[in-house]
Amino acid sequence: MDAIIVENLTKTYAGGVQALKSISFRVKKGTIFGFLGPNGAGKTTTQKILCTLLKPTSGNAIVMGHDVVKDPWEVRRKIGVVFQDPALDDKLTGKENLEYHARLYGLRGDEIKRKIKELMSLVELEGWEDKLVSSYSGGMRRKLEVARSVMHDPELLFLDEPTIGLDAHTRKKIWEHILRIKKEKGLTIFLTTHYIEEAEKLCDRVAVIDKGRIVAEGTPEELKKKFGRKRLVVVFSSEADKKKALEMLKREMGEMRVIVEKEKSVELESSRIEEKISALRKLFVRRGVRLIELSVKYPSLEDVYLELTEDVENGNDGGAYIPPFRKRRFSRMA
Amino acid sequence: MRKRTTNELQAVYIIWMRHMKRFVRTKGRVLGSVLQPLFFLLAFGMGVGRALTLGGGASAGASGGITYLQFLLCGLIGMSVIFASVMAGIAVIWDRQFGFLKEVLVAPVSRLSIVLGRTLGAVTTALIQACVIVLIAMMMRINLNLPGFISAVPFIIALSIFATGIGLTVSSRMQDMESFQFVQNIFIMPMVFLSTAFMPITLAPEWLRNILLINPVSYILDGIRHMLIGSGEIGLVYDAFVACIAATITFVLSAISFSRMEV
Ligand SMILES: Nc1ncnc2c1ncn2[C@@H]1O[C@H](COP(=O)(O)OP(=O)(O)OP(=O)(O)O)[C@@H](O)[C@H]1O
Ligand SMILES: [Mg+2]
Repeated sequence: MDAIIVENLTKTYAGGVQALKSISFRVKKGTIFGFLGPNGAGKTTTQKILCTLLKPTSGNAIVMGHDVVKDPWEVRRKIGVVFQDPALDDKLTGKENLEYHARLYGLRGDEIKRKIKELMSLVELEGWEDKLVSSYSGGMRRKLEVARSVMHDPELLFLDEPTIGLDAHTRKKIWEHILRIKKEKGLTIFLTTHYIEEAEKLCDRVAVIDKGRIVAEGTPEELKKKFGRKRLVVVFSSEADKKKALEMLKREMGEMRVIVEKEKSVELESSRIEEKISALRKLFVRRGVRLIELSVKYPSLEDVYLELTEDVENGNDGGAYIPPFRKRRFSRMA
Repeated sequence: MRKRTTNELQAVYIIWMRHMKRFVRTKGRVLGSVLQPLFFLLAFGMGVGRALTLGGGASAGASGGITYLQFLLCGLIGMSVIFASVMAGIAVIWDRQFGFLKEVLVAPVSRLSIVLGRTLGAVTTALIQACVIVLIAMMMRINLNLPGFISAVPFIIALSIFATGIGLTVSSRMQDMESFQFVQNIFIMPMVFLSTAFMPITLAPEWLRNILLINPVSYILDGIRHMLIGSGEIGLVYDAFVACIAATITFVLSAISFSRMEV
């Protein structure tokens, strides 16, 4: 059974921005679905439509068996949401924010008390229950929001960059908790994140969205196989060896591109790279280039992601925000 | 079905509760809302007001003439109720700006309950302010018909619902406080000052009289005066009728615009 079915969904904002240009995907119940894409790709727009906060311009979205436009109330009952931007009332205390949420979702007195206690200790906010949220740090507010999103036992959880701004320790804890609920209750998770490693580790399937279109979808393994190019990593004995080798490569193996260049090593990319290993090794030996290592490196999901969303990163996108993953490091040779 | 109804009531309650908590915690606003009418009372009322006696209105009956101060006091209650209620309504803009609105709109709660919770909150704070002003008036020895205050309460509630409805409708369409300032200046202010808040119909020039009489606020204020100082210029039945209609219209309007609202 599918928790989310999206068919030909489009969204054009009032100002004329085409945020979504016909996207389709499905999310199976009980799985974690990762939604990756550069700034402005349309991730938050998609989540808002699925959460019934925004009406699509065209297309269908069925969430937990209900149409988000025709039956929003049923959808709302079954989902929990962490929004990208803060959504707390900072004139209320942490406890009051949670109680407010609980009552909106129909929880009752004792249950509310028990949940507040349990969740506050889970996100390590004990002792802060009765303090105004305005006195919380950014990370503490995020933790409170994550706690709040699971308070009413949703069947489907939307998380829009839930762990942004959290320290590694807290991130780990929150994920442990979310994964535990997922296991116990068969929770489905729709996760938007810029931490690609997080997505690679946690997600059963991933979709990469770019400029309002889904450019790839599959398990992390599938994506790596399909889009990731393997690289040849060559480690030289000295810098001089490297220089010599690079000149040779330029002359004799023009189709090989240098992707990363470090002091004594390079990473190369080329078509049918495995077939070229032995030729390359022979060439180096013949010319007296001393090697320490020559090996094939398999791509990470991050490499694939960067490959798929390249244009945007080269400056078509206006956002000044630099995502928290490795910055691009290409010194390209023809 | 029954569960759904209790859930909705619970939602109305917690939305009301949040409003009250924020009201109590924003001390400046409470103080300001009381000081403003007091300032008006002192500025306008004490000088001319004490001496000036208005001729008995249409239904003044046996009570005879009333002072301008008494008249003004009722207007000020109305003004303070309107401002407090509009403010409560437009608090939605704040909620949108700091993100909290999403939390409310994504919950399985009908938009009607959200509007109802907010309106009840506004009505409660408006009533509290009206009580405070009446207390001040008593300390200033302005002659009021205190049991009448109880019967003025329905009018005060209607006025508050009316004004909250305007605030909510406006704020469901506006993104920022600046555009609200605009609405406040070209719409809310004239609505207050071109009503009988400060000026009896009988003393108004001909052209103004017509404006006063198409403004629903005039009728509601007149109803309050009937009750609180035993003197009004329009018939009580008209007042009650207009109060009900006005409150209903803006309430329905705000419920409709909320149900269409996106974040
Ligand atoms: N309320 C809005 N009105 C008009 N345009 C909008 C609105 N919200 C978003 N957009 C536009 O829609 C596009 C998609 O935005 P969206 O917020 O969905 O991106 P995103 O993938 O979540 O990006 P980020 O990683 O920065 O959060 C962007 O071009 C953005 O400028
Ligand atoms: Mg976003």
